[in-house]
Amino acid sequence: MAERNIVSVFDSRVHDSYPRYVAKIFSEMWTYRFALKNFVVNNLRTRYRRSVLGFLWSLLNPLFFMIILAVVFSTIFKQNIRTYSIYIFSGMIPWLYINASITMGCQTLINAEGFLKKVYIPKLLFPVVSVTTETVNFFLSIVSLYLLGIFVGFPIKITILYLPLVIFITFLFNLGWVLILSVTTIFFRDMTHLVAIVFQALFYLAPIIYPLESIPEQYRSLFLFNPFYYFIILFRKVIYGEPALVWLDWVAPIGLMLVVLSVGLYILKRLDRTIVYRL
Amino acid sequence: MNPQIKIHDCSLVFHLYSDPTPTLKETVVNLLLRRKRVNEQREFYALQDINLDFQGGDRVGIIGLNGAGKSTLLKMIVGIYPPHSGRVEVHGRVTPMIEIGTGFDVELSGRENIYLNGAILGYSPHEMQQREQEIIEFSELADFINMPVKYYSTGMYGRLAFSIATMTEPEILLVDEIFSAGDAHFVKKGTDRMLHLFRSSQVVVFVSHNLDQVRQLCNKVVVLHRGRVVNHGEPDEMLKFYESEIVNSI
Repeated sequence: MAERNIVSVFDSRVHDSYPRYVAKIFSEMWTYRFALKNFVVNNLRTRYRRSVLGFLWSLLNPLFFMIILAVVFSTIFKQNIRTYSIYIFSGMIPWLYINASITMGCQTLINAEGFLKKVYIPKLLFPVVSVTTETVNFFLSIVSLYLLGIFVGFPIKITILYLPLVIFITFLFNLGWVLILSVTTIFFRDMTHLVAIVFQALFYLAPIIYPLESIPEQYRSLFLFNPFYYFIILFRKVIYGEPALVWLDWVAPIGLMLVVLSVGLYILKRLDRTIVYRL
Repeated sequence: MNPQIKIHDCSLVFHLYSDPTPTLKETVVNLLLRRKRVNEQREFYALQDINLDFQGGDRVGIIGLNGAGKSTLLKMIVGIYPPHSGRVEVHGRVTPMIEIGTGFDVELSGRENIYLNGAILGYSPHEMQQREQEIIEFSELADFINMPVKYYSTGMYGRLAFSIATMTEPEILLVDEIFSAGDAHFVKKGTDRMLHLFRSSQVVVFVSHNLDQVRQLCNKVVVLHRGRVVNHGEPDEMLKFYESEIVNSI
């Protein structure tokens, strides 16, 4: 049995310090790593098992979407279709990943009501499961689509070796958002709709389907207010290879990730004891 | 330290909201129109001023009417419901048998669910591997163990959940009403298994409406009424008290 049960003391007047709380919930994550793995594997299995083509469908969907976008926008912007499709690919797949992680993550604690009220299970587990599921899915699709790209003749960039690091930073960034939003969704149930709308707006506030150069100079500073912009740029530079990756490109994503994750963990700490009563 | 449970001055409040699913839209509109908060809440003390101390050797029966707070008390000891005031101290390995079969995934086979359920309870695959054979044998599912749980009958489902929950060597055992599932043959077997667990555990807290079982198995009884401990002591005396003072007074 898990070591956590050997001695446990709960005192309503005693609150852990922030660092101690964070250390505690992450060490609980280690105790529950098998539950984490089980939940993620089952999520992916049900997602892929539902159709005959299984995993292939999760690839075909974004692939066709990108082909359509590439055909339409390369005509509009009069760009070379081959370079343009990899441009779209390098922005679109990461965007879909961030979008799916955060919008799916909102409901994760509400959906876990059946667990949280019946067994002792760490609350952090459910946001982590949700974001991990999307990350694994993203990783599988980006690798297969990249291999497909190489097969059709896209150039291989050496910067692709940074991809795992970028994914790791993005994973923690998404986790921070999911913590903030899944806890607030318990108190405001319509948060999910709001998040979906905001994401639609932010989609156009990042150079995903069009080149940044096609935006008039005076409006470009607007993009800087989109926190996801920096992540799209980083992904693009790593996958697309242009413009060249510089160390400055890492500053904003890592900084944003640290801020969002700390806020998320703080919110969880503040409301940890209240959550089960509001589900 | 010997296994023990100490509950000191614990109270636990449920807030009953008139609107359990508030929305941001409503909150903002109410704020803008300076309307008073419409989401009224009513406080309800599920547990109030609980002081209990269970030591090694205690077989504690918790009795009370529906809604007296019996299950909530167990869930507070496990850590599912943190008390709003007071202190809960638990020394020892806890095996909760409160809502068995929680988190079964019906799409998965019985065997996969053994591991899933174990993981949810904090066991490693290695620990579950050691129990797997025992669980399968006890549940008598034989070849059905490789079939998705959604094809199981209620009895088979219950047998599997019961077998997983009871294949442990607890120091502290918390039981909520669960004694067995399935047909007469399995009920007999399950009861024997439970009796074995009662004997081998150091501390047992047993919530039940079956007063005969409580009389047979417990050496201490706590009477809960409307979230308060109204009496505790020797089983015979407490059962008499419960029947005359509480059951007959409603």
